[in-house]
Amino acid sequence: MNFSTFNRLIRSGSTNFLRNLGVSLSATAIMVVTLFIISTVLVLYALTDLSLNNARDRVGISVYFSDSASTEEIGSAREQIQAYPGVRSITFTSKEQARDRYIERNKNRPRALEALKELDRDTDPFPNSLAITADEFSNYESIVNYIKSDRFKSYLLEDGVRDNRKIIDRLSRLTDVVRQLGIALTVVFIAVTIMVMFNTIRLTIYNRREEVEIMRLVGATNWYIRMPFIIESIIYALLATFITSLAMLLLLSLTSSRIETFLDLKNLGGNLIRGIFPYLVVINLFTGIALGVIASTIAMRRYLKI
Amino acid sequence: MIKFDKVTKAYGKIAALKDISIGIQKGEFLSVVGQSGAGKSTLIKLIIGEERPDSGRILIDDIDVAKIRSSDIPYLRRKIGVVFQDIKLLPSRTAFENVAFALEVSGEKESKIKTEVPKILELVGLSDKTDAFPNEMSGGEKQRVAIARALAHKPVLLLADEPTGNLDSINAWEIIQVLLKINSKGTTVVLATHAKDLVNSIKKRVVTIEKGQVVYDQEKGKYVL
Repeated sequence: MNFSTFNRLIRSGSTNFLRNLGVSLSATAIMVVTLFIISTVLVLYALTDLSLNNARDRVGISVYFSDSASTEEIGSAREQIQAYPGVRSITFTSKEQARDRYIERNKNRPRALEALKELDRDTDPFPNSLAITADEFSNYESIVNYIKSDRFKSYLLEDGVRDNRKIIDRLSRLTDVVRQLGIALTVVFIAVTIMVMFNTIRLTIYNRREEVEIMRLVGATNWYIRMPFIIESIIYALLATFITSLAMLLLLSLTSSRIETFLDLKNLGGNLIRGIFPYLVVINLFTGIALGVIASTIAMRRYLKI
Repeated sequence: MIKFDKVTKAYGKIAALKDISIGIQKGEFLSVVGQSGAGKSTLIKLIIGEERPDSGRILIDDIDVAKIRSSDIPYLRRKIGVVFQDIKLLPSRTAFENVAFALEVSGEKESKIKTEVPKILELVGLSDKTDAFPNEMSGGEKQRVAIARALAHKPVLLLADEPTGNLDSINAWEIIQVLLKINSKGTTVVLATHAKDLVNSIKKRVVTIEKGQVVYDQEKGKYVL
């Protein structure tokens, strides 16, 4: 293919796009909606997955000691648990540290501090505690059983072992829901997009039937006749990718700090955009082009007699 | 150069051509005459590979068009120019652009198109209509643009299927003169028509088809039906 031919095909494809601008724009719009949904689903999935891993890393088992346990007893318990197979890390938080952390975290919420004062009157709300994480998620079961054994019972508060796996369970169920819903939505919108694009290309084929007939008569190859329709569908994909990416960039930069706080993911702000956005653009581009080429190929097979 | 060898073609139960054998020499001017529905258009469609025969061979320079692959048909059509009764020009393009279109689809460079197209338009006598759109031209002029387009690839063979069908007698006569001029420069011309007076004025070979069969084949023939 020489440069003249390349030029002519691009021009011809653009003419297809421009000649029915209204129809072309609605085809682009439906593709934008689909790409936007796919992008949103991917971002949501990435975020829930990220916070799930994050939770797996951080929240393991919390162990709360009764006030009667001495520093030595706590130290010994800590060493024994540390030695138990499958335990990765163990962090001690003293009463004072727990209190300071609570005050620090709630410094802008006077009511929470008020409540603390109330509690302080008759109880001590912050026990000494250990936070334990395991090497593998599957290790938690046996570690919990070990800590709950009679060996440590006398040092611990009643209900002093808090197994945070429930949170993780809930998170992983959320991840599943996001994934399933995402797949369903994506499938539906991909089908709708292919149908709309199919109709658009069919209309172009109809509008150009005279030209196609003449092309055949003067010896245009099948490839040369088909190319403009494929180029037209690629134009939809490029335009839709551009619009979707711009919208996603805007959305991500507006919400990333809030998402971070909400999901308790630290310092993701820059990472979220830098880490996810380029992939989104590439995925959108490939999805868009694939949808366009599939739709135009089906339309040409059915309506472009060569 | 073209040889129909016992060619039969039917559309459903209706036989369009029955066991036809015709030979056409290089540089010949052949008129194929007959009433509407006699099989003239089928003959032309078979030559350009638009239709395939049910049996028989159609040889063009020793290539059997009946067996040509679909992907080779575009290249066959660059060797054969075709003109139709309904002209088939693109209304949004000028005379120049309509002729250039044939060269564009085969990937010719712009520079070649710029030098070739005016020469072809001059050959058909339309140098002054280069920038005219089809709706600014007479029927005869439009048909001459179509002939120019058919000649763009410098075909060895020009097929004209009822090219004068929609034209008055003066315009029709002009078209025949253009075809004769093209023929005199060496291009083989096959003219399918039912215009009796025109054929008689040409005084070249005439093949008469009736109900799908050749009934007369005469040098310097006349339309006898």
